[in-house]
Amino acid sequence: MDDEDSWSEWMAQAQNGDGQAYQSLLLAILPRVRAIVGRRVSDPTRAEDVVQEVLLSVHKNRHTYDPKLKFAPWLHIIAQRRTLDYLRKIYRQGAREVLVDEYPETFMVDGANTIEDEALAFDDIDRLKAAMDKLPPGQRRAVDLLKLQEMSLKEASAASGMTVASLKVSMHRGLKALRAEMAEEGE
Amino acid sequence: MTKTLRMTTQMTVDMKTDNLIAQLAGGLEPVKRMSHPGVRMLGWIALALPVSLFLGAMLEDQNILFALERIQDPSLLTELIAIFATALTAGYAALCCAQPGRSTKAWMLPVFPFIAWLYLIGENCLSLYEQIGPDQFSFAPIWACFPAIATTGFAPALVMVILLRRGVLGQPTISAALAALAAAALGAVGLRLYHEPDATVMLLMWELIATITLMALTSLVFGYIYRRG
Repeated sequence: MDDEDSWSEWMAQAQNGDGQAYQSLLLAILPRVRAIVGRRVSDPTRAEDVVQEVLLSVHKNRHTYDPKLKFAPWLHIIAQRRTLDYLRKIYRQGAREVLVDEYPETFMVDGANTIEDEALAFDDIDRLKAAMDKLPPGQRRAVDLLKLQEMSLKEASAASGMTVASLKVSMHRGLKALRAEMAEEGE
Repeated sequence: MTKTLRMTTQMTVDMKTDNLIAQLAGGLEPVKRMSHPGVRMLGWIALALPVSLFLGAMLEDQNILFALERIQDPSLLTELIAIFATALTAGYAALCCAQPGRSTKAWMLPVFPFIAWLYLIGENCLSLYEQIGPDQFSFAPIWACFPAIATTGFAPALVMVILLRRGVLGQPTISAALAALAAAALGAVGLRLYHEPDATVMLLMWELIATITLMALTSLVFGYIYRRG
């Protein structure tokens, strides 16, 4: 039995709820997914984001796989689709946004620059990490999935098992707590 | 230093992927496997055809006896078979396109029945032209028929959209065109059975134009929306 036969069998078992087989499958297909994505996305960090998107898509659409068919073409279409979606997103963002070397100064009043300050404070990874560690687990998870991993609410809900509503509430509270924590540390 | 930083970043990212895999696999629930496109297509026909036939009869103010009487005509029966075959093959192909891993050549299935449908319409047009002559022959649209065309095609289109949404569209434009063709053809079965025999050629011509316009518009709009989403 070659690799692809094992993939097919693991997916059939995963469709019946076998988490162990599913984990083996996702780990086994990872190099193939990375290769498909890597052909179009050269930046390794961005490529890994797309790989994660592909894994979420595989998870969401696992019911569409027919074990009588080969697994590799099924995976290939999903991976390619997600990669193209990502490239389109980047292309659209590029068409809307302009990169500038230096942000123009806008207002003299300190209060007008709070968002910038906050963004700078959030750029300090160590401080952010320390502040994140102080959050309750639910809020930490919501901020991590939605803000750091930039998942959509639907994807974060699938990944965490939390409902969309509870994710929204947790993220809102988490961000509020983070801002307070960072502001306290900054003083 | 830069290399170390890049390696650290990559390790963090890899760790996140491993975490994601662990999360996805943990507490995995069984899923209902998507049925074979043939089975789904039969479900589509079973749901949409009765509605389409019922609406066709309502709009044309006819009953089943009228339809049974009409299918005794061999030329109408041949035409109905071509239209129904177009609906079946286009529906099957659209559903194949929504399931990754199925043959990408499925889109070719409706080509032959669709050409047969086109040929029969052309033949009918020609014989009408010979009967009534160029002065009476007109391509003027019969606007009164458009609500009937739209209504009979609505149920097949709605059920098809629901079925497609459960799948993954590798080629959204082709899937949408096939789905529109399938829905329009299944709607045409109801309309063709109950519509008065007069003006059938004109009706079919316009129905065909409406079908092709619907296919083009649906595939363009659907492709655009899918890419935006």
